[in-house]
Amino acid sequence: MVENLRLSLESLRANKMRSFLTMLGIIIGISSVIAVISVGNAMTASVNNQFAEFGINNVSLGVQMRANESGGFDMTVTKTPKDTDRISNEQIETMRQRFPEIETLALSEDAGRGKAKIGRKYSNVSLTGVNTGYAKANKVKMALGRYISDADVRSARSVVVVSDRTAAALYGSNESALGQNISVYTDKAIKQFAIIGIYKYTQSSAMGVAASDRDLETSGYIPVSSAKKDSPYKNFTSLTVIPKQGTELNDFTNRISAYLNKLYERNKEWEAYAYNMKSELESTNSMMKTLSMAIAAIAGIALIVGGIGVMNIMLVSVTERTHEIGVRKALGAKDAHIRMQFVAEAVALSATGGVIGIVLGVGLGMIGARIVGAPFELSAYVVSGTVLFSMFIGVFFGYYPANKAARLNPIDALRYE
Amino acid sequence: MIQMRNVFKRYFADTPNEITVLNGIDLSIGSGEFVAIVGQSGSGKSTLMNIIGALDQPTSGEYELGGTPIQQMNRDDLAEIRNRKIGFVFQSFNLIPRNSALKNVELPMVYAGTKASERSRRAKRLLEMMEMDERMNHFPSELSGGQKQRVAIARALANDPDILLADEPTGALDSKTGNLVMEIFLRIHREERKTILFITHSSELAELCPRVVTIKDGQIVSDKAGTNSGGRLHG
Repeated sequence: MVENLRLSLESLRANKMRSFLTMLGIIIGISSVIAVISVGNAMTASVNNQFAEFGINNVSLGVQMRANESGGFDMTVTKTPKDTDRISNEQIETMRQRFPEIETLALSEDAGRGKAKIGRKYSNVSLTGVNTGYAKANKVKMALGRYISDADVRSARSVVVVSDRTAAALYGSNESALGQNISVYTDKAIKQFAIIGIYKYTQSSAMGVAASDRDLETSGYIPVSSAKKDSPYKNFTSLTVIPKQGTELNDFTNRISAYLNKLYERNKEWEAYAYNMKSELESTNSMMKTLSMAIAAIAGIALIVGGIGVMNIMLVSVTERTHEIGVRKALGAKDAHIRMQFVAEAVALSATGGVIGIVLGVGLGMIGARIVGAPFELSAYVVSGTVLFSMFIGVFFGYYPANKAARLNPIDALRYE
Repeated sequence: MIQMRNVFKRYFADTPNEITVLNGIDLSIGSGEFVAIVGQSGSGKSTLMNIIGALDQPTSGEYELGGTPIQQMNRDDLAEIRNRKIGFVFQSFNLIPRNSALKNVELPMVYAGTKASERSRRAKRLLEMMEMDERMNHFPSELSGGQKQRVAIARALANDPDILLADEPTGALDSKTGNLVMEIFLRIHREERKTILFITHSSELAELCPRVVTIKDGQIVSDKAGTNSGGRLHG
């Protein structure tokens, strides 16, 4: 065995150019399979991360225009639902009681954008009216102070939770910002708030990148009831719920959708919707998996072409070394010895190609992952699989030439010049 | 050691192009004999040696090697016979070009399944015996004709075979080197008591052997003692 390995490596060295060209087929095949699979995995990971940011267990509820008889929407008019078409506080409360599996319920209301100013210092703020549940549904992390409480909402207090970016821009630090009163200048009014908390700003990839760090606009969270004071609508067009752990998400989504749509049975223009990200994530994942499998299969064809190259060169090698095979047989080599020697040579050829292919494929995968902007992950499963597969190619495509060599008649082979 | 009765070798048998290379050979060679087989090219002497060496099979007739009939053996059994019982020395040396002298001598032992340490120990000793130990790591392309043939003889002795088959071993060498190689065979015969079959078309070398068998047109035409056996080589 060791002897065969030594022999085959020697033979590869003796025909460097030829071995390299033969390996090239295997190298291209293996590297493209690895690159495709790892870029595919990176893309899937990246999509999963984006979904996770939204909250994979969140169920979004809301009001949307009813589809017409043909199943489409009238695109020529944009309509805003009237207050009576919206979901009221009472309906939300009843729903919460009907569905005990609701753990968190998040409400939000846009309260306009503006600049928080102190002297010449400013910070762009987008005011959002929220309830306590919003922090959990949107994964808001506190740095200092506290978040909007139920009491803040009940009393519609003029309090705000700002980002650490805003705190730094206006006061220099979180500590000096806490407890201060700030004025926010929106296009309609100047609003006064007391800062009760500072949250950690994390850049969401879904939000894109702000024009410059200085002008970065971050959310300022105020009680939803305070936001409603300036709004013409008392009711909501959308909300988010998180069911308790262990709830079957799709079933829950269907039941809550059916419940809400009962309320809209007689509404000709509007209907309720409920959806979760999980099913979308699953279908996206399965689509990406199918896609990368399909591309990997095409790359696999390159591997087979490479294997045929190995077979071709092994047949040439057997013919070239017919006399040597005759000498070996005269010295007592059995058919199995000769067969092993040539199979080992084919395996050495394709496995060396396989290893180079892996290195190249990992390199390509890293570049590819950087292009799609996802972390590169090397799966040991893929690497060991491709190494084994390339060795299998060596055995499969090397066996026929090796057997041809082994079956040679000793005297005919010895006479061959 | 070797018993042949009525051995024929025909090519294209039962066609108009039929060629009879061996035409009823009866030959008996005892253990420890040194026999020269002489004949012109085309006489059938190489075919006879290939059959004796289990490289080829007779078309008809009986051949026993060390009491074992060869005709019924399968490919692997024949390989085993070649490996253990017979040592070949060829006119064109037939060393494996990509292997060093040492690896060439080890090769028959590789096929015999000898352990690596034992292999290299024995190969070194054989090369020492051939006075080739200083060049054991040289490749065949770095050796002269006489040196190559000495490596080939060491290789033929690797598995301590009963019979040495030498097919024109001096044919590719100048006469001085050829005589040196002949001396080696005589020495092996004297010291190791091996059965040696020596094919040559040089009657001068043949006469040094104790027994000379002459072949013509596939038949043995004479079988007698060498006139100069036991004598010294001159030149």
